Amino acid sequence: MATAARWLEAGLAPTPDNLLAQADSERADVALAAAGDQGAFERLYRLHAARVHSLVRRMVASEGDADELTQDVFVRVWQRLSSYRGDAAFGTWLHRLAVNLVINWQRSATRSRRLFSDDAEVELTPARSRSPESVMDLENALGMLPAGARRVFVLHDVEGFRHEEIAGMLGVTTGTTKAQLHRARMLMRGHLER
Amino acid sequence: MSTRIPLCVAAALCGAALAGAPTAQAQNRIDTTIAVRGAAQLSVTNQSGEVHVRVWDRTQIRVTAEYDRARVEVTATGNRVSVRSSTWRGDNDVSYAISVPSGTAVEVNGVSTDVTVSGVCGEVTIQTVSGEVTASCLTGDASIQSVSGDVALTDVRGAVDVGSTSGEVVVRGARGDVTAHAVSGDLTLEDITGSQVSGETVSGDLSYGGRIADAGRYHFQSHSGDVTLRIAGTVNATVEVSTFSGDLESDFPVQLPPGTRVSAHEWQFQLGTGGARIKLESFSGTIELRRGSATTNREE
Amino acid sequence: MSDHLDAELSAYLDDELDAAARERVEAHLATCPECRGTLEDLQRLVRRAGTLDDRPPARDLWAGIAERIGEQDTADVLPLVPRRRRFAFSVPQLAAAALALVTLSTAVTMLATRRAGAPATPAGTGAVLQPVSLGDQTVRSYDGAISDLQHALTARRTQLDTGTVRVIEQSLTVIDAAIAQARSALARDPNNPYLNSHLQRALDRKLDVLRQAVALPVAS
Repeated sequence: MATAARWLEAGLAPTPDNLLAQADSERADVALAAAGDQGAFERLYRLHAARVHSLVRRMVASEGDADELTQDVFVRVWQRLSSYRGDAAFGTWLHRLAVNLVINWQRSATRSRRLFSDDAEVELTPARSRSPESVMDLENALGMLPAGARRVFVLHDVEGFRHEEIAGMLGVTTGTTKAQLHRARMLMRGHLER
Repeated sequence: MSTRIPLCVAAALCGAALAGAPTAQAQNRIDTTIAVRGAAQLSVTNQSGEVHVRVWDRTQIRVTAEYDRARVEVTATGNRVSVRSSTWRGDNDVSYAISVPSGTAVEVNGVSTDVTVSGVCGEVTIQTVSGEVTASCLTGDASIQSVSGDVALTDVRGAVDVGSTSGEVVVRGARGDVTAHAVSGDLTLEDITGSQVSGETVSGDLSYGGRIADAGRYHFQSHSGDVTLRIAGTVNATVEVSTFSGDLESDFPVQLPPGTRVSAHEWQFQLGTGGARIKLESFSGTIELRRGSATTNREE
Repeated sequence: MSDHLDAELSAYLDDELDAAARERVEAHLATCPECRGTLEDLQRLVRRAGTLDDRPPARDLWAGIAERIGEQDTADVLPLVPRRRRFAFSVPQLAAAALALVTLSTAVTMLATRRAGAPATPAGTGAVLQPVSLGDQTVRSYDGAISDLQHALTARRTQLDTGTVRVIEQSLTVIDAAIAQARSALARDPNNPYLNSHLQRALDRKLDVLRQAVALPVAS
């Protein structure tokens, strides 16, 4: 279970108590931040920054500035705190907001500067030179995918969205997302070989 | 941009509240235009008055404001234009008319502020307390929240989260996911073709007119309000109905295979070949499932 | 089959094939070491992708965020006073109320087996698992949080616009009626899943309205 893996890495046993304690203080901070408390919002930022930045970095690779987009995400979260109704966990809601923001940014970015075509396989500058002994980092390999394939791979295999959800978010059919996913996986496999 | 604030001469004049649009003799006016490149962002904070944002075909944002007693500040940082009204206690309406390029992301915060955003086709975030909100052509991820104001949205091309506590919410023409909330206001969703739609009220009525996408998820619930679905086209869905003291009326044949009747007030049945999931709940209101066209027949 | 498997490999890996298609794929895999190798590579890749570490940004982004949200504060009543928190005194009361709120559904959602950050079930269906019956403890937690927020709202009442206060109070009356009716129905049928989830939603709505009211900007 990915959640347990993350908790273990953080040095915390995934006991119900730990999860509940964090949930309590996070809920308190969400309520405070919704009332205008920037200190509480900063705590929420620190809690979720790594997660959001990683998502943004992986989806956007070198197409854009992950730092700036991460800031955009948190500014958007601040703007929309009043519409968070507690139906889903705060992290889940924030995460969804981040995904939507990145997808929309990509849509308007490609509209205003058509640098890459989704069909072309674009070899972006690799982070390090490939020698037979080096193991290419998965994130570096991600950066070498064409934008569309990379996006579906991140949303499906990294973030865990279903094809129906991804199709809805991107405005395409599940046939397209499944084809893109397989293509991404095969390309990744090629980059990671050796 | 600050302005000289006239001192009050008589208590009666100062105490009078200016409701609605400023008079023709608004004392102060600003008019400023800022060049923007690429994806622009507009943020407006106006505690009372009006904010009207419309689209034009220049790569500029033009802000005009009319007001009597207030301080209006327009600042620009790169492609982000920020407009703020600062006010003293008392009457202090500011009326803004702002023109932006197509696709501009628009954010408006107000209290007793009416807001219109027309034809911008960008991402919209609006929060107001007692103002009315009207917006058309929304893309991306839209969020519109009001407390007592009515909200009317048309041509929603992306996802939308819209809520009002006592105001009425009308969404006409939405392609993306829709999440709509009200407490005592009525929710009217028409011409909806999105595949994830949810509506919730406490006492308001809820009506949905549109298609049912084959893999869609629809959840409509109320406490005492009526929940009415008018479905256009063919529908393939599993339908779950829950109520305590309400009723179900259906144009569709409700055939219950043995064992699906959970309790006296809960039903589950299938329309067509299943696929979509529709959940309808009203504690004491009437739930209606009607065949119909996507739009209502009443005159606009 | 002389061709190798292509897109079917991903479909197979993701468990999207029907029984017949799955059998065909497995039959091919049994005789094709190359496709077996490809499948193993893909499985390994997907496993790695699903357990990627989250790395924080190289530099602290908070300052940039703070600057931008500071720009967007709603109007200060006295603009010449340096920017401050909006409602200094109501914040501790909000904190107490929020801390008091521990709902069964949140704890259950946190413990549910799914990726951290994966989206909640769509179309507002809320928590993944519903408690069978809203225990007395849960209801008492809600009551505690509700009463804290109501005190905070009462303390703020004079600061808020009277029209808005009336709307909030009317909405609370509507919701209270819904809560009362749901409770009485539940008393006669305590394990009914619909009634339980309905009562919980009504309580959540009351909390939403109260939180919204406490966070309202000061009237001019």
